[in-house]
Amino acid sequence: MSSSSAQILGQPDLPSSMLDTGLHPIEPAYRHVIRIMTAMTLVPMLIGASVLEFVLMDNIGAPQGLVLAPALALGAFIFVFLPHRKWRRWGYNGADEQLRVARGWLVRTDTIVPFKRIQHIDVAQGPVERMFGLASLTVHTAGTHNSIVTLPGLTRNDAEAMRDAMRLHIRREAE
Amino acid sequence: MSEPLTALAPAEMTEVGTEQRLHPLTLLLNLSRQLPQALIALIALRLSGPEELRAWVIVIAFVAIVAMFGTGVWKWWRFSYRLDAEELRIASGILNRNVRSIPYERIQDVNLERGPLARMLGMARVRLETGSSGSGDEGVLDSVDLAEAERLRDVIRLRKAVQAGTVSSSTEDASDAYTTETTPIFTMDTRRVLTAGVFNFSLVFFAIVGALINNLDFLLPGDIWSPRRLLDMLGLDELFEALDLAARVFSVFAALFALVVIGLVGGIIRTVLREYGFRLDRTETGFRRRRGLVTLTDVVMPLHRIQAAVIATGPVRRRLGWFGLKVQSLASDSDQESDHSIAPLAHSDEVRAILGETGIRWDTDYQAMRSVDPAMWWVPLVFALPVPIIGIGVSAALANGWLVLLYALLVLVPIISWLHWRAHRYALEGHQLYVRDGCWAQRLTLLPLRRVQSVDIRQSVVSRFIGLADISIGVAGRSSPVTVHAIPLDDAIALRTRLLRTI
Repeated sequence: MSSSSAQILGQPDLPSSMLDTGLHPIEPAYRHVIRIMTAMTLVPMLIGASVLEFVLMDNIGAPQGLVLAPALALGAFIFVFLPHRKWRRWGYNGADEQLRVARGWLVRTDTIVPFKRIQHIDVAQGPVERMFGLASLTVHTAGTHNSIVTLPGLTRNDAEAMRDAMRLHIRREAE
Repeated sequence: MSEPLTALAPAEMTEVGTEQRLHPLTLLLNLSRQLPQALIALIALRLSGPEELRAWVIVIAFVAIVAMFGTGVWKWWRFSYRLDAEELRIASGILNRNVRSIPYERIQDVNLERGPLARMLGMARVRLETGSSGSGDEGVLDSVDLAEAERLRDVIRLRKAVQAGTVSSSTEDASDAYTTETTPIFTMDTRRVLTAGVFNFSLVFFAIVGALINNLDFLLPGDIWSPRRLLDMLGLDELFEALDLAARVFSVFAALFALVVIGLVGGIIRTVLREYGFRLDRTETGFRRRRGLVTLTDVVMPLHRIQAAVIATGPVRRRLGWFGLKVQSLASDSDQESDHSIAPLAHSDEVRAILGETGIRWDTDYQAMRSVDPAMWWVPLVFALPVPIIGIGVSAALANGWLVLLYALLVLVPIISWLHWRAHRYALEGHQLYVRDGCWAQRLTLLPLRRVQSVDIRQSVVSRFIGLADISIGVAGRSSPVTVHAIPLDDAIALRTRLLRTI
């Protein structure tokens, strides 16, 4: 297990001035998870838009598609392009005894949690994630800000291997 | 660990495991807390309740008081606590019984609180802080007599030490730490407390009056606050009509002056109530703080739980050489405060002396710290200012030309923003990060690097465009992160590397 976890945790980070360097991408299948999750929120929005469209057409005689067309265009962007863009911003690295997680499409955040500061670790799998064989890894620190750092879109084996590698460090620290 | 009993003094050994109730006078204390509310409800009923109920108010009052007292006695009877070898057990509840066990090693602080009535009766409330993220009510013994409270604290502290393995057999040293009076490391005399009050300008009086009016408005005529009616009532109507412009302006200034005086008096009263007799002692493991005029509090802070220190001052206070010192610890001080104030008003050498005990250093000043990018003050303005500029222009054109005068106020926005930027500085020296912010309420945060829990680098769309980033450091026991705003991305990455190097 030690060799596989070393491989998963990646090579030591090279000093660099770019935020994106030294990061591993998360599983490409996570794009589908994002897509399905956003689709679930899109459906009520589109229903609302069609209701508004019919109301406006009946009452003030608005032309067909005044509301629905922009809503569909926005929905298409969110459904087709956004998942890839969001997925591209996720990245992680577990080298140097610290977990680094980068995320965020508009506001980018890059978080580092030293393994020694981890209080406990969750590996979670929602129904949609399970469909694609993915899991998310959540680490908890004692800090009030940033006390929960979540890394989604790992294969279940990777998530569990990372958890085990971190747990070794926590135990070593406790002794 | 397996035989902690052997480490206890014989006198205490016999008491292990005996169930104890709270002091019977607790009933009186609780009643004194509940009665005022009940009376207000009764007065309301008497004045505004249904007609046929009013005659029965006395009877209702009697029944209510008997019922309150009865449940009070019942609750008291069913509440007991027991000091076991490894844990404190608290059993409570009339119908739903609840037995809570708190292991001694989980108890972080044992705090005593004494209200005015409790002091007259020689009682104290014992609050156990376990450091869980709950409301802080994990273990409260309300109330026991003072001797019992001090005994509890000594026993809990001693057994905690035994469990941790730091004390083996020398029981006297540990239990004496609270009872023997050492020379305090910081005290505030009455004059100092009054000075602190002057800097605590507070309009809390208006809030109190407002709250009273809100609760008692059924007693008052509805339109009492309309100025017209006030003038009528005071017979000032004609007088006000007769005043010329100068007198009106003068009266506005007089009102402002009165506001300042009330604010000063309010701040002084509030500060004296809280800080009177301030005394900070160094105990074996940390600090012990006692303060209060009416309600005395007695708080213990172990040094190893202190995460960061904050030195607060203001433009006037700094010129006069006054600083306030707070430490952020894992346990919360009380419901109002998120951090422990350990020196409300002190000179810099006093602050350094106290800090010396915690191992946190104060080795830098404003000039030695690095400033951040000026984008911090002008970038938000570019996005925020157009809205009020257009808004005022439109309303002035549509409604009233005089609204143009509001533009004068807008000038303040960039000035304040710039002052905030100028006040925001940071430095990384030795094993500490220093972050300074605030132009009116100035705060200098001293964060030892070994207390860093996590580090964030954050870039919004705009700051990415101009190559800047914010860096936020998560610290335990602090509601907000320590943040350095608007530094170049390279600096942020370098700073992050240095912050995490020592962990």
